[in-house]
Amino acid sequence: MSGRSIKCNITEDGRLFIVDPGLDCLGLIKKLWPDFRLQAVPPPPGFMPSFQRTRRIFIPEIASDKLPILDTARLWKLHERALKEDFENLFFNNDASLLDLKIELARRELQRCGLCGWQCGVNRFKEKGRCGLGPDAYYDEPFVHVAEEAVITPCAMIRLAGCALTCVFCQARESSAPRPLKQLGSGLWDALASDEYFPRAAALEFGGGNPDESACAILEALAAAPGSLRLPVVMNDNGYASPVLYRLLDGVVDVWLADFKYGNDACGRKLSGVGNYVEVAEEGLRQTCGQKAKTIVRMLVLPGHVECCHEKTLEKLAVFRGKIWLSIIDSYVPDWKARNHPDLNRLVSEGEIVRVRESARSYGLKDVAEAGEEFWKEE
Amino acid sequence: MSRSIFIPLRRTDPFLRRFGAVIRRLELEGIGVKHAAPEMGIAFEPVSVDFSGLPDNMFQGEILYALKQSLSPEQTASLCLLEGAAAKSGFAIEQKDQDHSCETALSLVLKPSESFGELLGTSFEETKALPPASEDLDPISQMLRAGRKERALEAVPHGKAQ
Repeated sequence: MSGRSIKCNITEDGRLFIVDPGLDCLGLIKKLWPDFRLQAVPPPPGFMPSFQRTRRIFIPEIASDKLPILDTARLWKLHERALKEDFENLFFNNDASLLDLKIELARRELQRCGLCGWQCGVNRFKEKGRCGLGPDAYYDEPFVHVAEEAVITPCAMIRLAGCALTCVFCQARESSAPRPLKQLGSGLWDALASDEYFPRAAALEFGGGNPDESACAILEALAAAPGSLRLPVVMNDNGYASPVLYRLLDGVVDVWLADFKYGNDACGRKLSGVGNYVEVAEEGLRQTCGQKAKTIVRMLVLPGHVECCHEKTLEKLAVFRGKIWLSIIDSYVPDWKARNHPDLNRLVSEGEIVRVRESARSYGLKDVAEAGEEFWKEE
Repeated sequence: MSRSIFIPLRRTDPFLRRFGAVIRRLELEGIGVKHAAPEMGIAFEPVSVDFSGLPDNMFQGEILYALKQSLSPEQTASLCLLEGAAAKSGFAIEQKDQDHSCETALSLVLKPSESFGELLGTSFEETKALPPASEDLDPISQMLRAGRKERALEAVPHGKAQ
């Protein structure tokens, strides 16, 4: 048992919510809801995660120890060629893999960080970025989540500290605060191996906080993963990442689980502290839809924001119809600073949820809750 | 034995002001309550509650009962169900997470029961020795008699962080 804390909310009308329920509290869940059934649509047998392929693509005649001395422009050119699998499948001892190359590029990115929509340009080896992070990444107690979208449930959840957004309704402030938890690295695999529930996981999810800002450490950790690991890698992010982040994780992530929080910049500024959320999130979707990875867009229905945010977001998502899956989250509970915002200091109404669902249907967006095995089919 | 706890109350928060019911209940019981520590900040009104003279094992039951009195009947019913299920599953409600609670929801944290009682200042051994609440004071019995069990059981687990 992980021994982690589990957060619960009890609304005034008596509804009980367990936040991020895991296999470690399945007994509790069964006592509260005897009819609870774990919904899971795992990937097909023999599934090979993208990062395992990427670590087997080699850059000819570039030894891994030579990567640090090559200039960045050349590294990016090699990266793009390798992504297109332009190289013959031949390698010699010490040839750098595409994953090695990505790690080198990610390290360089940290020297002038532009991983998130802030593009703060901070040298994270010397100071902390807007996300509150230096070069290292830290994670909270891992657990196996039992109530994510069925296609990624149950999933081993790695919650990383740090986030570039300051959402007033954040439920995860405890893990987004940068504090010395466990440093992400090769030790992750020992931690997971010693978790009695990990063998039942059907996916490996990096969440947070927000994982984008920890991309370098994630790549390094995956480079040390057991060769036998066959779980799809899920990146559960806030939708506020830069194009360079998506390039670095192309060929590594199998499922992008990205928020699309707002439909206008005024709400993004007021509630998450960023003035360009919509533009950044739209560009992010263009990037993920250009990859082999699946994209699930999560939309948390906020009270009072159906018209200004969710309707407009759905209109934007319609452009990506057929390439994305939609996950509508209808269980908002005010948290953190939400009580200081009169519009957010209430539960979302049934009418608001119905309106968002009907609107999503009218745009022909696919609901991931209705996805079966077709989710995992190659396109 | 003299024991005390701090109950931080945000003056501006309507939900948390209802925790004042806890204090009033304690005062009615003749338990010393003194307002203290203004240096902790103007947003808070910490009170120190002196439990000297009370039997140790009354401590937690009194607080939980008084807390329940400040909740809606539906919240109380769900809290009672949660308490029971948590206790049978190796968890305990360690902390009333007041800083994250708001008018529309009570936020709680469950921890493996080894740490139960730390917040309230009681040791685990003391906590285990607590007697069950008498039925005439037990809100769960009142709720169940009032037929509200079904309402609370309609709840569904929620998995996705926001």
